[in-house]
Amino acid sequence: MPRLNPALPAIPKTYPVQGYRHFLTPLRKLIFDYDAESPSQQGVRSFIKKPLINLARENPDVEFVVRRLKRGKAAVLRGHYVNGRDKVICVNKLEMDGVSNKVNLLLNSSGAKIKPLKNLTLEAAPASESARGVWSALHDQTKAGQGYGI
Amino acid sequence: MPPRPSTSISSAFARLSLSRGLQTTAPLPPPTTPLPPSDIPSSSTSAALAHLPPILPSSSSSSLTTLPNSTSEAISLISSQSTSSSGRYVIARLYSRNYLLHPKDILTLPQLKPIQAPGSTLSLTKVLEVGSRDYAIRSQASNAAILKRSMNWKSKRLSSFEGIPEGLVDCNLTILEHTKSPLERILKKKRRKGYKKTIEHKQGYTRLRVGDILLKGEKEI
Repeated sequence: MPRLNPALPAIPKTYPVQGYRHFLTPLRKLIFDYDAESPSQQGVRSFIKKPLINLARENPDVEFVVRRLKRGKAAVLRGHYVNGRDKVICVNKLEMDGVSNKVNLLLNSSGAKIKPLKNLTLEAAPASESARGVWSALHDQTKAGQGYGI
Repeated sequence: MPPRPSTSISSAFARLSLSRGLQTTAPLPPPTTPLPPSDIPSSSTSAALAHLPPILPSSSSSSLTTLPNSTSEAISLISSQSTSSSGRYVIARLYSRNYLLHPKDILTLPQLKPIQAPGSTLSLTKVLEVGSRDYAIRSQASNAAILKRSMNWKSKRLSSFEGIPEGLVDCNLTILEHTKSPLERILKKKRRKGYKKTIEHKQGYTRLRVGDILLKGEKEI
């Protein structure tokens, strides 16, 4: 007889499972805010001029926005994610490669808040039970005399 | 010697009163809340245990009298109890560690290089065991003694991996993201030597979503 799952709760709840049987790029929009004259923002300006165009072609599901700020503002990369959060990285004084690294950081992230992952190797599926079930001393019959009998 | 009461329920209560330490052995007043159902209160132990779940019968329907003859038979047994998306687990080997995975689990590993874009899939090739609640297909590698014997300490590799044959189990991991941990500040100090330094460290991680566990012949939905 196939094993029946326990009774469902009175008000059923759905749990989002990102990346299961489908994949939606978490990054929606990437904004490059830069100052046209500041000498420390030479890296960003050179990145926007050439590599950004190829990057935008390679990532068609991300919206790339370039904004020129007024004098004195810092160069910033703003990544807006599907979960509603945004990651903001200042790229002042960085060279083109440094800016590229920060851009990849934003592209690879899911936008989730940074949390300690040292002790979180396996995060169980939402609203699921393990396939083999939970051990019970009363039902353990691996050796003779185990479990309980009347 | 206390007087023997007439009814069986009151006799049980009388015996309980001795264990409870009551001053009287007279029958207790009728309970205000309904008692749990007891069919035959012949002995006090059976009445006390009546509300516990029944013990599993020794010859349950899921226990096998003979092992299946062929792999397809074993697969059908597992399929009868589970689907590709629930009720099934797989023990796979990844970077010298064994993980017990269910569909939809999130596996967090140190950043996997070369860095692949989120959304790309990795397939589990080294599978030790696949199963459902009562049935499992195990391989030689799931035997710890055999696995240890195949470990070559000098080359830090397995000389041979006798896992489940390829094509039997198909399970993919989807890369969700490459993140970093919060900043850790590690303080190093040696006393009376003027040596003190702070190391700032952010560990990179790759988070992976386990996909459906497809057995031979099963199609992905």
